[in-house]
Amino acid sequence: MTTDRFDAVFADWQTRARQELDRRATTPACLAFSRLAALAEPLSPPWDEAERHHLEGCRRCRSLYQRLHRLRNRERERTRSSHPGGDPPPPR
Amino acid sequence: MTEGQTLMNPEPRSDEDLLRAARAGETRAFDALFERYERLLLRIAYSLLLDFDAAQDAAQEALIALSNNRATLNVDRPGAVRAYLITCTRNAAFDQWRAHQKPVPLDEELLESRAMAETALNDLLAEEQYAILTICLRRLPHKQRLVVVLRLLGDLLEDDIARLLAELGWAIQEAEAAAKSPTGQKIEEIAILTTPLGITTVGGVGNLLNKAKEALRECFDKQQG
Repeated sequence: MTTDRFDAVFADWQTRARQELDRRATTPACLAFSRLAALAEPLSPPWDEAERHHLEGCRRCRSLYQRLHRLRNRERERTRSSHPGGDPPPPR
Repeated sequence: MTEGQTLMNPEPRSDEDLLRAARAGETRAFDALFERYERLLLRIAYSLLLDFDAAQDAAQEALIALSNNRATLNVDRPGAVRAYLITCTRNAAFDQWRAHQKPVPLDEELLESRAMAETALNDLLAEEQYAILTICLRRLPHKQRLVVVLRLLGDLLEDDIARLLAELGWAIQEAEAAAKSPTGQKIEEIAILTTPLGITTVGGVGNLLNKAKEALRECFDKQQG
């Protein structure tokens, strides 16, 4: 009896977990890595309204964007701290 | 293959070729690598963590590490990109695991997973059984869990899994030691920390899968009983 139950629960787990993993990978509506990386740059190209809307509802794109954004900020901080006293002088 | 076939179905570019192209400024090349590996890395991370959010984070950490190191990663050796990504995913998964490690008593975990006390009894029963299965999955040795997830959720063939296990070097102590290294560590350094499992045959994977399912069934029956 429990064995039958196990088979049913196991099959259900397989279906649910597979669907969830597929949902979390890139879907056709998702933004490409390069686009998210470009948007995370300080002087990023303008956001498309549809992109912004997608980002709000998609954890994959949102967390990737936030991760890239944090990384760029860290890089900028590092660059600043390696040039104390402000930005490096412009090249002559 | 005829010339026409070649034109219609060009050989997919190797990972290393794609990374070289990305270095040369071909934006789509890294996107292609990302899409090629995202699902696999997600499944590897999920098999280690059994948590969808954490798995997604670990897979993304690995792919970003590759992007950051694209200029310096040695791609002379075929398979270097894949090995780098797999190792980074494993390390990121272990970082997540260590960061969030908190033993959860069975009852508490069950209660957490059924926050829907108002739902019908049958639904509640189904959720409880699902929660028990998840607990049993967590109790599997990592190696067995990896086989279950990759074979049954990832649709990977047994020889692919055998190769992956060898790449992952799946002895738990070694994995934990490697997890102490920062994500993005150079593959040459990581290679020192890992050793192959020695499971290189298809039969080995099949045996692991059977053992895992037996253990799951036993654990499930015990919890139900």
